[in-house]
Amino acid sequence: MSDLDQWITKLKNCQFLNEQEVISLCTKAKEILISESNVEIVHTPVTVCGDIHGQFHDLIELFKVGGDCPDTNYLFLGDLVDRGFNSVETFLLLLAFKVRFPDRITIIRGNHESRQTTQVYGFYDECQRKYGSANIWRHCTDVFDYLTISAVIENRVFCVHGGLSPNIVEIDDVKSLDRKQEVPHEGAMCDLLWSDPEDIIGWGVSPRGAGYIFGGDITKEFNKTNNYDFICRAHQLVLEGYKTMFDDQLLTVWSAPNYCYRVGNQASILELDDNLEKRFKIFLAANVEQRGLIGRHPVPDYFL
Amino acid sequence: MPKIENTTGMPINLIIDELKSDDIRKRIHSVKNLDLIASTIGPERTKNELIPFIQELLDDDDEVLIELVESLSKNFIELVGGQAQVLLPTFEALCKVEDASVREKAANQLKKCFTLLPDQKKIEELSMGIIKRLNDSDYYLAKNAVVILVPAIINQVSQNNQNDLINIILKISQDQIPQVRKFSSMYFQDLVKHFPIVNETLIQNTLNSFIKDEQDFIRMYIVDALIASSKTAFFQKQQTFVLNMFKQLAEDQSWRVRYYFCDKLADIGDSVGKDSYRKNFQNYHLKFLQDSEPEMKSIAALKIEKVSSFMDSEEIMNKLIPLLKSIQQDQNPFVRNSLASSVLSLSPIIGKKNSSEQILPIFLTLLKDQDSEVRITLFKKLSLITSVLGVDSLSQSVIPALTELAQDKNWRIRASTIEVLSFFARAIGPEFLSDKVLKLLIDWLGDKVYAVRQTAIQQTALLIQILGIPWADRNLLTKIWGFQSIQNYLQRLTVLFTITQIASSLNNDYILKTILPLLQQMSKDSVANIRSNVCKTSILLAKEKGGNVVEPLKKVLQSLCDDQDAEVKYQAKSALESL
Repeated sequence: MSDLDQWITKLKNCQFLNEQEVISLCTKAKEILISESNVEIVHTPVTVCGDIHGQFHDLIELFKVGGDCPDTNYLFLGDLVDRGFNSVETFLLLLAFKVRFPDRITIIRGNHESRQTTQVYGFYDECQRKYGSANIWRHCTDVFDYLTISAVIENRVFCVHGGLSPNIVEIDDVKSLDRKQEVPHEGAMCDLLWSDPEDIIGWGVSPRGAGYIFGGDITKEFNKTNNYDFICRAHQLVLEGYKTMFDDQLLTVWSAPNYCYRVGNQASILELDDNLEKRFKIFLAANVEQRGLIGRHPVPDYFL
Repeated sequence: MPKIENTTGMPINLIIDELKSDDIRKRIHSVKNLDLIASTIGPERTKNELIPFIQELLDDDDEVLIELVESLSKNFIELVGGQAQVLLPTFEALCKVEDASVREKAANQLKKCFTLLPDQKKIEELSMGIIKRLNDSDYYLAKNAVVILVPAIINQVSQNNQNDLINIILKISQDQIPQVRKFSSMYFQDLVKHFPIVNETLIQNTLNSFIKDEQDFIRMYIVDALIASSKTAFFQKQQTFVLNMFKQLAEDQSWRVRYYFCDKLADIGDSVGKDSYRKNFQNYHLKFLQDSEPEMKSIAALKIEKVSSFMDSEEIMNKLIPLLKSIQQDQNPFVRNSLASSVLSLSPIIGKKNSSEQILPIFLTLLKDQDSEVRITLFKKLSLITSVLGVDSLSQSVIPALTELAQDKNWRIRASTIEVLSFFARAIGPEFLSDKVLKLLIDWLGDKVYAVRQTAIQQTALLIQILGIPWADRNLLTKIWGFQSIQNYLQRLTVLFTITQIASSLNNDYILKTILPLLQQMSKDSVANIRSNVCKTSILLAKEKGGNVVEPLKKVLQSLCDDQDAEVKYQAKSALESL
């Protein structure tokens, strides 16, 4: 316990752990995640969060708005890594919370929690830079394989990173998948992590090159069949932080403010209280001072 | 001799090897531990082996060099057995790199080494050699170090050498390359201190050539040189020259120069004296407050606090304050923010009656500013006006502003406002905490943002420390305890967090009578997070208070030992074990 508490304190200060500690943390994490179902059961009250993408200081801002773990229950919808500067610290902090407080936080796999994607979008490079080798990346991506791929809150809210799949009609179809593998290029597991809702009828080809786009009719049908109030997902940037579609049958939550330190968008988290009442909390990116980023290198002389 | 402990987890040999590693990260790590290496191998080997080896690192990446100069600056002189001479070649080489911060650090380390050399002759010989070599170097940026080193030794060398040094500086100040001229301008203030070694003619000629320079960043630094000169006899002899040059800078076409001048107004006033300031520079400050550049208005407004000590009360009233009326409505929020941070400092100077007539209206206008940053800045300086006008008279006019800020969209503003309210409450006492004000506090305790609730809890605890439990119970606590039946668990947690924060103010009777039933009730809450915190609060109270509350609190913990939630069980059991 005390090791974990120490690691959590270190990580909260945006200090990454040493290689031994990371390996130990990953091993412990796998032991806990292995027993989670493909459709993890989550109880209210819980606060649902969308993509974080390595924006560590904005994650800290999120905790300031939503409350600290473990006093507040959290469900993260994946895409914790890539694009931001601190994927390592972000992922390890949430993983440490998961190991220390397994019943207070749930993490779902996003399409970026994959070996292929992280080699292109930054997590691999960050691990190389911070640890001098690909070891840590390998251990983390092994943990990704164990992350669950969906959750259901009180049998009423279906949570997934991307969206729906033509191969998934009933929730049991998700349970029967084998998730402990690299995200496939196609198929149900891939669709759940890559699909997007769209104002169309039925299914369509996704411009992302993986998963599908699906319309309101598909959504309503799925919810009706499985008795869900709505679907809660992330995966798509929303300038206002959250967006509802199809008569509130589908909700997108996005938790990375000022995405890529450029877009200038708001972020949000969705608080579901004891009775499943919805409350959105909007927040903005943390200030420069909070980021502690003062340029170490002075401007080159020729700029005078 | 410092003996440094190896906490890297690596053997020394490995750290030494990695100085030559291909991986820059490993090189940086080893360079950071140079003092450890030196301490381990001892001064002789450091002198004979390590230092020469470091020479080979000198065309490494900037990132490595930054760490290198940092490392060498630590206590390397001791680590080479006090023989500062040994380090000179390394620092000299570091004065020729591209990165400005490395050059400056290295030059300053050279200065330090010079002071530790055994005799004057050595100092003169070695320093002159280094300066001449750097000055003659093909690499023009090496002159950066020259202008830093010359002032450090010019008063310790022979007449001939002094003349050489002066010629070197003269040439640098007229160099073709603007950057090089900038070096000499920046550091001329250090040279001026050596008047009369550096004679009148030299100072005047150099400053005259700087002021005609077409680059504004070269003219800018004349301000520092003039301030430095005023601390020498030069000022007595050439007062008119100095004052005229100050005036030229104050009227410079480039706002950057005017800005720099304005920024240093307090130092200028200190160096020329109050009377001279009022006669020569006061009007410039007043002009700056009306400048067309918002940056100028902003810096001028910011400086009000410092320069007001040079002005007399009459002038503040008749000349300064009328200008502030237009600044308080300036379009630019930075300007108004600067005003907010310094206007209240005028109160103690002009006294109660004048403050009430002149400053209070400005205060009330800024209080309603549309930019919440401005309002918060104003509040941070509140004590300056309350000390003059009295807290009571202000409290009423402040409440509407507080009420508005309490609902600001930006949660940080809401959190800051709580601190302001707390300031008033602690200064005035219970009378300030009318129903209206108490409602603000209760609202903050129920704010939707966690960090605001936390600030509210902390400030409430502070208030209760001063105002006492009986008052708190009647007016505040009962309402907070009522949160236990709010549907949202995050709001219910406020009850437990509050108890934890105010523990030191509680007495055991109150705990038994009021707190215990709360804890018992909440230990049956359907949400595990609440029950976890019941454990945390119970153990804290038991430990802090002791006595007759321990047993009942133990019972609460025992009831949670069989909880269905693993974390609650763990908390309860470890709490009981620790008792």
